[in-house]
Amino acid sequence: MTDETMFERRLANALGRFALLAPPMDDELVAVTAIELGGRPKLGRLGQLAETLFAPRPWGRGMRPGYLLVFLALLLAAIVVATVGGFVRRESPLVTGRNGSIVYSVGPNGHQAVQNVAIDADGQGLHQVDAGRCPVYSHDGNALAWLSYEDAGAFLLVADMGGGGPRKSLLVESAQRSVAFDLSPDGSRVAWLRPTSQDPTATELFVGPTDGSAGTRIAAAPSGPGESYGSLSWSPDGRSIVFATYRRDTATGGSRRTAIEVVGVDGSDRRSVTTRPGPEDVLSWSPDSRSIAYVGSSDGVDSSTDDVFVIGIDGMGDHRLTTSSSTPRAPAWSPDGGYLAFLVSGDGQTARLATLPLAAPTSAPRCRDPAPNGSYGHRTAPSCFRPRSSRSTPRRTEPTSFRSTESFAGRL
Amino acid sequence: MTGLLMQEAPRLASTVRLAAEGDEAAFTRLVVLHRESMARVAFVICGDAEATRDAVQSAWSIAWRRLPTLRDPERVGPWLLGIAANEARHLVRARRRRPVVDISETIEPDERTDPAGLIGLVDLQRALADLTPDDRRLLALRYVAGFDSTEIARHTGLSASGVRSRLARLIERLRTDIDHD
Repeated sequence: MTDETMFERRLANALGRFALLAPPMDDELVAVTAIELGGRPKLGRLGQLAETLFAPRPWGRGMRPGYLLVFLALLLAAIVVATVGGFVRRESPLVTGRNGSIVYSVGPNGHQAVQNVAIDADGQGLHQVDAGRCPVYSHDGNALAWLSYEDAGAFLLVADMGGGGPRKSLLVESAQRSVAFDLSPDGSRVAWLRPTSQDPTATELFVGPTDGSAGTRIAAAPSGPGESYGSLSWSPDGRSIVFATYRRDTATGGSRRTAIEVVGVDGSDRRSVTTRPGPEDVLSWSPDSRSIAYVGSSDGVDSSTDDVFVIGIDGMGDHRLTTSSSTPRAPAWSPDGGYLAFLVSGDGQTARLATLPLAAPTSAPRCRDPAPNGSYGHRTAPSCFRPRSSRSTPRRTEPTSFRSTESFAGRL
Repeated sequence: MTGLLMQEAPRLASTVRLAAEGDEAAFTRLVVLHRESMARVAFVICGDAEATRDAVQSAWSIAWRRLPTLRDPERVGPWLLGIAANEARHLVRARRRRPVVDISETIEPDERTDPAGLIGLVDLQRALADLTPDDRRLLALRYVAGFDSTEIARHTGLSASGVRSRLARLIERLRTDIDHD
């Protein structure tokens, strides 16, 4: 017999003798006390099951089975809620297109942060969309795109109607220049003006998908000295892109004139739409793709007398819609073609958002503007257009200041 | 003897079932039958009378509440001993900072020494005081309750092989402590 075995026997013997020193107890009292203190589950088998599940493990370690089951049940419930909730209540979409909403950006001067906001066509329902510049709806209203100027360049962000985060793609490697762009009607492609590698001041017209894939050049940079391209707009039928071209006035040799040109999305069939001299910029297609609204110089020279014009895509029917002393900017067509929205700047610093019914082109546009003291109210003529309705004072709305530097590139 | 045990087993199972159904008299019979063995196991772990009483009382309260969940009434004995061992361990861990009570006064003078080569109880008590409650539980279940490693594993959450290896190390440590003193 080994020493270990011998010691184990001695140890067992000693422990047995030691255990005999255990104190005596009154069995009756122990039983009564145990019954009194122990209690019993009152819910029958269910209580016994709960007792089994939630009682401490006999060895006092590890998770109790009941707690584990509760944890798993909560986890399962969370998964179910997340899954079902995802179907029932989808993420609030950024886009509110095709319902008459107007999207525009509000911000201070310079390159400071700018906020995109959307508002109903009647001046109500103002709400914040996202940070960014130059917001644009696709014509089908299912996508909203805007620009983000960052250190790495100018990025395009496209948010779908279905919710989720916006897709981001690089348009121009440099953020030093503003980038003109527009979405295809379905929001899947983008047309933009991209600086050439040889001359950063010259731009080319590119078309490409919004997923960041490489685009295709459809219009080379202007060949004349000092010539450049301006704003562009994709036709609602998806076939053409209209853009402005700044050119030297060959007649006078000095001043510039702007032409409106249209080109197929594949680069074919490029032609001029306008021939009248003067600034002609900020273009907006009519919903039927047959007309273009633009801001043009009334007298062909002085931009301070700009007005909103509409011209057929075939170059016919050019006519002026506004005759105000205020300077209109950024026209946008409503989805049904019944309204134009644009900004008017009458006092040099404050812009107002106006709508103009096209069924009666001579009627005055309706507008929103901030009162000088910061509260919101209506300013009477002649600093602002009179409201279209017979009411002398429009409804009071949210106090929002439209700075003169804000952009307005949305569609109604 | 075997026949007597075979007659006792159904009676014990019947007593357990009655106690599980709420028969207080049957439960008292169970206390009479098993209280002493539970107290011995608890005493080895606790090391003093007061804590042993508390542990045993707590174990019986738990037993009364959980008796309806006992699947095999014939194994009520090991089940009760396991509860007592774990309650004693919990109690000692909760009272860890209390000083260990000297039991030398309670030990008969002839048991303090070991003239026949047996381990003196005072030496054993001192050696036990140096062990953790987990280790004392292992010793109590193995040498007082008489459990094998599988049964100990069932009550401690350890594996059977883990029980064996821990017991081997424990015995070696005690042999060093006790025999070399």
